[in-house]
Amino acid sequence: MSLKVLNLNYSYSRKFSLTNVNLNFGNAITAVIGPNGAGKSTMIKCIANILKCSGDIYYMDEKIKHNDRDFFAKKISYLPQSSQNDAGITVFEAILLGLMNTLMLRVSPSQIEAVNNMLDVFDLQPLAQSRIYELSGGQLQMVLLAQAIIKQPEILLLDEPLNNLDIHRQFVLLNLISKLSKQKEMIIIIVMHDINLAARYAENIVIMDKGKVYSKGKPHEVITKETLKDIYKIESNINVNRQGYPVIEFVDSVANF
Amino acid sequence: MFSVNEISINNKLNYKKVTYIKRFICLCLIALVVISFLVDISTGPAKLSILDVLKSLLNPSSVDSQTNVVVKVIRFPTAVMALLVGACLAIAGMEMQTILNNSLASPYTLGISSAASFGAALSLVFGNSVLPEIFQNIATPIFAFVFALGSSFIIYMVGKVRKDRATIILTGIAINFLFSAFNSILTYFVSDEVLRGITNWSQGNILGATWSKDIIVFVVFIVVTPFLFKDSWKLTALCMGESTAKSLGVQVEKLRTKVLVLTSIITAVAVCFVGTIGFVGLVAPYIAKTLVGEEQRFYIPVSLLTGAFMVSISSTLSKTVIPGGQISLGIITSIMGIPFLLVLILKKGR
Repeated sequence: MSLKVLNLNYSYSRKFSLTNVNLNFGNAITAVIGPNGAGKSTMIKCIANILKCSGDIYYMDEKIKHNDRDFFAKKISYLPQSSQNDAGITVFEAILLGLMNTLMLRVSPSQIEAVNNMLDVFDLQPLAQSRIYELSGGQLQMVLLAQAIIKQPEILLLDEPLNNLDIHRQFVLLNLISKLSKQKEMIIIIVMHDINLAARYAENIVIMDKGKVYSKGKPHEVITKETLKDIYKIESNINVNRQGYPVIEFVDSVANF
Repeated sequence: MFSVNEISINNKLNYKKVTYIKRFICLCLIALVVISFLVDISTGPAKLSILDVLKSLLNPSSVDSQTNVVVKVIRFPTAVMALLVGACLAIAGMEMQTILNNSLASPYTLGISSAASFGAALSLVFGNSVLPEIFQNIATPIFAFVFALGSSFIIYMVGKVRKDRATIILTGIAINFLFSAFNSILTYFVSDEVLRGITNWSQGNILGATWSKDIIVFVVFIVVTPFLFKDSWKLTALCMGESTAKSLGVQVEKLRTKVLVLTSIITAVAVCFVGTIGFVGLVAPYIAKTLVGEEQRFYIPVSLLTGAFMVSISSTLSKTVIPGGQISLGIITSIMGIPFLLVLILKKGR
């Protein structure tokens, strides 16, 4: 499976926020990192067709039209950065919404089974009939991830899924995602801020800065002292640990604030 | 209050059982609506028992002709109107709350009722002398609809620019004042007879209900509601926020515009025959949400049944509070609605 974006351009009013993005994504986890305002979220919103950008998207070497709603509905799941946490629906119903494309007035037994399956995978069965506003931030994030993957997408786009999660839940979520990517053939793109977690869990890293792709490649190739200094204005030491991925120790900020 | 949610925390209920409970709630509400409807018909200056009412409806020859006239000609159309108006206002309120993401939204609090009522008054004042009754009955809702839609779009545009819930409600209050003022201006141009009508109506009154008006409201209600049911999952997705709904493939802007037009139609048609009846669109969805949550396949029917029940009860109360007299329906719903409004204002979140 392959996803290719060519010449992606998108501008919010006045300033350019995405310029000439060319990327290839394979059947693995790709982490997109970079400072605030680098265009990370904009890029995956463009791929998810939430924002209408110029440029081309190819999936399995076939060009995808922007108005091909069927493709986006079936193949791509996108988990936005924020969701409302005061919804008056149950966890079960929220996950069911992930099947939006096929939902009719009557919910079919296979759809009910699919939701139950997700509840088992995410260990959410005890909360199935709780309402969304009763959940903690971490539980809500699990529900949203279950909602995103219930339709078994081939491309999964996650926009900062680790926000509001404690360190334990960050690991739980990333372990789950990494298990998913191994079990099912899936292109997973995660926007995140934690460079250490990105280096640990992602096969590929894309670094973005000022609306452009700064560099891309394997974690140990792209995460270097020089890059971090250039992009984040921080001094750091980078060691490669026993498992072979870089571990970053932040020393100090270069710039004076 | 009996709530699906409380039960579910204590016991491990599966989806099917919860669905059965929700259906049971619908059935209970239907029973309540039927009872309140019969009580409403039996209440009035001429004392009738519920048995008389049932006999007259099911087997007219078994009661005297006077009872038949009271039941069928006088009370039945108003009792039906109470149910229809309650259902319409409740649906309009709940869908406005859904698309504006604001639990304080309703036809009344957003000033859409008063805009519709101005449109209707305008057509009454200038059309009454010219048009025969049946055309007047059709022209009035159309005028009401145009003004309801206009003010809905103003609210919608304001909501797009400033998303906080206070702004939307304050805009609604402004619209409310504006059209109340316009309504007052109109009263300077009309005969005493029409003036009495308009005054009566600004307080919400169903006494003028006739079969032809009932049928118009019913037809609009029956035509509009299935459209909302058809989009029930998309509308449910909206309660998780705009970005989540979009990510699920809902074309949010298109859906909002469509629902805005539909709610304007039902508000207009409900308001133009009975005037402004406040708070039904606020209270009924609130109760429905507490009972079954925001999953629209149940949220819609439970809201509309609750609304119908509420207005039906209010209609009965309006005939019994002052012995031998009758007060406007809108006064009763307002008194019933204020505590709920306060709860909603004090509530955190949306």
